Amino acid sequence: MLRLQFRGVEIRRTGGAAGVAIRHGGVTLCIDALGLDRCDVLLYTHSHPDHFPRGVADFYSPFGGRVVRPGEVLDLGPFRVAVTDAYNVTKLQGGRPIHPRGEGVGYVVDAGSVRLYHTGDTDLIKEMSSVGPVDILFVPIGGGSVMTPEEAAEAVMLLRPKITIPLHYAEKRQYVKFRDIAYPYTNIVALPSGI
Amino acid sequence: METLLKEFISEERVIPPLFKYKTIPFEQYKKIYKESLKPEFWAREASYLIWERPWTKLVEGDPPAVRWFVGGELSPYKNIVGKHAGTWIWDKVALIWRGEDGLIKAFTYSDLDQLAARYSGALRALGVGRGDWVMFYAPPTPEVIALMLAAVRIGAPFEPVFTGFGHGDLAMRIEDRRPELLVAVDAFPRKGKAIKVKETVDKALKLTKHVPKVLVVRRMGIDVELIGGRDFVLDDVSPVEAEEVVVESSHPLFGLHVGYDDGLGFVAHGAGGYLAQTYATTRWIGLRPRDTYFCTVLPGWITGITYVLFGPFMVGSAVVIYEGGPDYPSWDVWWSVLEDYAVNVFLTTAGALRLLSRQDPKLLESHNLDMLKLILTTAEPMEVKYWKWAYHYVGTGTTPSIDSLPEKLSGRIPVIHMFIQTELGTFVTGSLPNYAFVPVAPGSVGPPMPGFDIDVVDDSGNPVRGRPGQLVVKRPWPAMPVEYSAWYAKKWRGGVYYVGDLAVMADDMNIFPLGRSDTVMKINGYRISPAIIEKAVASLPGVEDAVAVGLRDPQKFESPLVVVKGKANPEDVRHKVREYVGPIAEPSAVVVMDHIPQEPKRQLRLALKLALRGADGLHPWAKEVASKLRSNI
Repeated sequence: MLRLQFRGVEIRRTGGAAGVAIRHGGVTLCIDALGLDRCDVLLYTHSHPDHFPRGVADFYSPFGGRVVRPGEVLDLGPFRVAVTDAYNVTKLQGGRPIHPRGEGVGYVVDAGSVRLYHTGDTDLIKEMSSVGPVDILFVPIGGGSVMTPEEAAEAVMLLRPKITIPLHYAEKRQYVKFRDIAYPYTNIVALPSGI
Repeated sequence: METLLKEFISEERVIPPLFKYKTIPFEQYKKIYKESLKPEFWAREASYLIWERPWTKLVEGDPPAVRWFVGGELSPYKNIVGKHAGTWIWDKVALIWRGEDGLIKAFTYSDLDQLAARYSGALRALGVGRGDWVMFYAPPTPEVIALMLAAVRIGAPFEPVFTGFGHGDLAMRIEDRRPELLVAVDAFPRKGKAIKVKETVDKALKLTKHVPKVLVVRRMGIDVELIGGRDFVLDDVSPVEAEEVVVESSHPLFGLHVGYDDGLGFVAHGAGGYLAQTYATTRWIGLRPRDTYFCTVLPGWITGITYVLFGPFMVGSAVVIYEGGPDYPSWDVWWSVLEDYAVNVFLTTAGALRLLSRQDPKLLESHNLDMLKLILTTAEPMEVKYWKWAYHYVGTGTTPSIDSLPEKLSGRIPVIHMFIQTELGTFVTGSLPNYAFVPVAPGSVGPPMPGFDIDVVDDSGNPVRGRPGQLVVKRPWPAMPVEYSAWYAKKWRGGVYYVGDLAVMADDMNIFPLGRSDTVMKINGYRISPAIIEKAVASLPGVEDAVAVGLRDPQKFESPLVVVKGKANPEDVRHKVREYVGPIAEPSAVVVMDHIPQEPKRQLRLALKLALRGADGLHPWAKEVASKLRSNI
């Protein structure tokens, strides 16, 4: 299985649209994981089925389990997690945002000296600019209910992460469009979904 | 020869659509080139390095004993990595390494610096100091790359040895170089199996009188025998203080053994001249700080040192290294690496293109390589048809650019083949994306790069155009070896360096190499000395004598033919060469003869070479061997 190591932090995909596992200090923190194997701490960004499997008991999220809100900071073993906003502005269904403000979140994870940012399902929103320097960015790129490849590339240009791992796309052409705009501003590491 | 010319030479000149507005005409190139052929040209290039003390004399001495930037002092490490401290490059990715087992490791420039500083302390703790040689017999894991940079940092010259060479070959290099320390890994995976490197080191050290300390880098975590006082594990070594050094311009930076007619020779490159030439050519071939660059050639070859370890880091690019071969886990793994890490500059070999072009086209088609802006190739001569395959099938992409037509596989980006040789240190020919880009001649290595006085001459030393001659360099270049064996010195005749390759130079100065003019073999780009193979075979019981020569090989360019006198099983001959010299030198054919004439080996090999090409009226013994070989096939 493909997995990335950066400054003592190991990252792998855990299935679904945006599932990732972050291992650091002997603990594995998983965000939006559908495959729960080897996950010690579970965080979810929102409740859509391609992000959240039913039947999970002990987890952090904005919709159930231990409920979190943007602005909150969690100390979870070797991780410090800041909860951020994640919502749509321009991706609408029936005149309403597909991911309305307040229903979903993103997470900024500090793992030792490494800062990772999982944006959640979101548009490129003004709150992103206050996240600060990011080492590894997990960003949705598929359009539809999340940033389009072009918008995700704009997010990269805004945040200038050292490494970007694109998430939430179904077709290669979305990845290619994102990659070909974003690559001068970050190093892209595409990891397959995992499950 | 006629067949070779047909395969390797083209009259066609191609302007890739993406370079439509960047291409200059031959006349303009010629003007740039002519003006560059003076030592002052290199003074300008060297001024882009950071010098702690300026040189007092640009160049002195007569070939081969030439020194550049005399009196100048510099920190090689600062010029490769340290110079990026405090710049935007410091915090960007320097290295992405992908192991065969799927583990990817990423390092920024600052990460690499920290690792190199720590490993400098480990090297010092093991007694390695300024001027002590360190030999590497290890694949380029991030730790090995950092150890090489650590050696540079403390002024310890190093020599990487390709792990495809066997214990006998390694032993010869150890005995000749006499390193203070030998760095090895425990093992590395190859197609899922462990290649036990430390075991090969142990076997080699049983053959040598000189026994260096051995530093083991754990790659697979397998158990290895550790001999007390000799063997150390990297993670167990406590680093001591180790300062970054400033050295004189001609201080040896690294060296390599290379195959000559009669054995293994050695050359070492000096810090100042080599780094000036490396920094210049790396920028000229198109590398920029924002580029992500995948090179399939590993340190062990000159290309893998100059254009993995030094040049790209000097520029500030992100370097991608893949541990495995092109066929594992499947034949599209290199395309995946390009696609998944947004690689925009790809450097590989003509041999690799031959292999890749023979695979199922669907494997290539299933990947999108639109981000590529350059394909660079090197090593051995490249047939026109493989250049065309790379240009049309790999380089066209799916998105039109300028006037490229994806549906017609029109080509889009340049495929640039370049000439390099260990003694020369860097690429010395090629159309240059960031300097003087001329239309590409398929099959050629391009025209000489500015600053290198390169020609093709006949037996009298007169320039020849449009027909084969000897490839030569007519005046010193900055990376000229500062340490060398007599075989290299003999290549200088009348102030001219005979490269050892046959080539055709066209009227527009495009050079088409045709292979070696001596008896050294070029196998997958490696120069293999026939004498080493002969020595290995002669050590077999029952073998009285042996002669080795290169046979044209559709995949590797050449492969060894071994002629044996005595009682020898061809399988034993193959096995012996494979084990002693390495898998790369395994003979493709073995011919057993009743006699081998008592003539100089070089003479016999040359006679064989001609006879194998079907030339008439030659050495009767060589004709007999050729005839026997044909009947065997």
